[in-house]
Amino acid sequence: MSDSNVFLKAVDIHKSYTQGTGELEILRGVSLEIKEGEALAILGASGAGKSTLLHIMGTLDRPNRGELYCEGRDLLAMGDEELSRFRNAEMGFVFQFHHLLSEFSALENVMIPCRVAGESLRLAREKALHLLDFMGLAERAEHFPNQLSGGELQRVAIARALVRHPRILFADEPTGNLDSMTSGKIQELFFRLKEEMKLALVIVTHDLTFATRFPKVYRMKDGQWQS
Amino acid sequence: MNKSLPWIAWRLLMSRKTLFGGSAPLALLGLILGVAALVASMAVMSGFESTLKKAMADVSGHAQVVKRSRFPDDWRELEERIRKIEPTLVSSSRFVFIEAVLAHSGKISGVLIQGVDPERVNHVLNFRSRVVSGSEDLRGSTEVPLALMGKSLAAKMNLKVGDRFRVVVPVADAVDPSKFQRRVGEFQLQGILDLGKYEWNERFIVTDLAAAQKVADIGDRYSGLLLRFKDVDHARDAAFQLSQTLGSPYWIRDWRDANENLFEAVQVERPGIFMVVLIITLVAAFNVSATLFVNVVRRFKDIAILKTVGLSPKDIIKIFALQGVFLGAIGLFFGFLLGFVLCGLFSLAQSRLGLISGEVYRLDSIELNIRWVDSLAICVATLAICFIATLAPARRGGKLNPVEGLRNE
Repeated sequence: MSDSNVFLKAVDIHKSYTQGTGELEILRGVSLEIKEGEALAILGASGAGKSTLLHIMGTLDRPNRGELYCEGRDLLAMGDEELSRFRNAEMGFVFQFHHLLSEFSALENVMIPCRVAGESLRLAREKALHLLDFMGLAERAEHFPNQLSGGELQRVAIARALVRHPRILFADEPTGNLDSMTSGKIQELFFRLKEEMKLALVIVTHDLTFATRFPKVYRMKDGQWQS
Repeated sequence: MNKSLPWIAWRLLMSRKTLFGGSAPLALLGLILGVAALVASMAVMSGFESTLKKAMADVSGHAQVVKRSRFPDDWRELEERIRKIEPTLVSSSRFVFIEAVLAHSGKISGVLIQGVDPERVNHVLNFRSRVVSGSEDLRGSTEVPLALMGKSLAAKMNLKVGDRFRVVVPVADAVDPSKFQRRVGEFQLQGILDLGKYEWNERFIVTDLAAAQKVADIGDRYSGLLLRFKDVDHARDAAFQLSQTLGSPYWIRDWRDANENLFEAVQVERPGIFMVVLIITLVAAFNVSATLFVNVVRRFKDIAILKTVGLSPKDIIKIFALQGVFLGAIGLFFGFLLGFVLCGLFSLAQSRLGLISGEVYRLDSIELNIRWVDSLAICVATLAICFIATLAPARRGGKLNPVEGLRNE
């Protein structure tokens, strides 16, 4: 496949943290290419470095060394402001914990990325309602996070990640905190959304069953790809 | 600024995690008390100044023209000269001051009789607004001339409206100036006035110019003209202009001259008191700052997710700075309300308990005055302090690494 189809490209990513007098190396020269509309899973045990890689590829963290490009644009050369706008427009994130703002209703939580992008209250509300309806949460829109179940919370978090129609969705252990039945439903939702919204999907998980449903699975161990 | 920031800042502030929990209510209470103290103290300072200013303008006019030698007989000619020099002159009225002794019901008191032209006095002075009982109108056909009196003097002499009283005026003997003749005048009390200043209420009597001239046996002589201009605040410039143009032997003094030291004291003390009381707000702002620091730590996760959805570090700083400004605005709103309540209590206390000693402060009551310029200074100072107090916690929030917040479950 030609390089022009590559949406996101990470090259030789190194990340380490200072621990006491020594260095704790988390990523040791990891490279990865994600094509447009591609779905892939990163599988690995806890501490393997998969979440760190996801954070770096999602521009939430910066590597000590390496390169990161999105359609040829050098993301690591961008300033905070530019990077924030880029993240708002192009990327969506779902985490193990829903991280919804407890003072905002489900609808308002989903509206936040649109409002951050400068969209009007009316338009943001319209988009958020539409997406919550798609998620089967229309009647729960005005509920606050403490009034929602675990599965509903995660669906609201997914709606928040997708409301700006990003081109890539990063999910870090999105089902790690759910019971098996709810987890199955959320997994189905991811695949349905991927097809409907034509977005690239990168899932980090240690759930082998979930990972094997993806056409492409990368295994990570000790900060490196495992062959 | 991103339009979503005030929305997010407000919603995050109005929560149990922030405003309705922890130390935030106490920080806000401190701010409210600081603002209320500022409002009340400025209202007292400005009220003192405006009450004194109004009393001066109401009772002695915006300015007075006096002459060291005998005044010209034709006062209308002098008025025209003044009007030509100062076109903002509204009206003038002749006046005379006579020292006398009031004797009534076995009590005596030294008094100052001000004789005024009853036909014109209401165009220059404002006794009407100062009537406590009776009327301010000195025109009327009664057997004895009508007079107005300060409320404390009337109370001391046990005089009521309609009562008659006598004054004794010492008049220099025409043959031997070292001797005095007693001249007695009788007046009927037409109205009791609250003249604003303590000493005026204690010894001021106002009567018809002709009656005053008669009792003092000075013929048609008068002390000078009382002047009223369109704007009381212009009186000082007008008086200066008149002084320059009329020259000697005329002497012009405006409403400030008689109490220059008091007005000067207010001018000097007002910013001093403002700064001292502002320290309360400053201390309260430290509490706001500490509260926001705690809030930043408690919001670790929320800050992380806000950065994830596209807010930049600068936006996060703005959110917390906005929260400081909102806290300041809430403090101002309730502080002003509490300030008004304090002013009400102060007014009540000064009327019921005689809070202000007239002998010390020259005024026995102050009409509290909350000037817009004081209010503006309080608002600007409070918001600025709150904004500055939030900068340190806001910067900390901006610097937080989102990854740390996302892991911190």
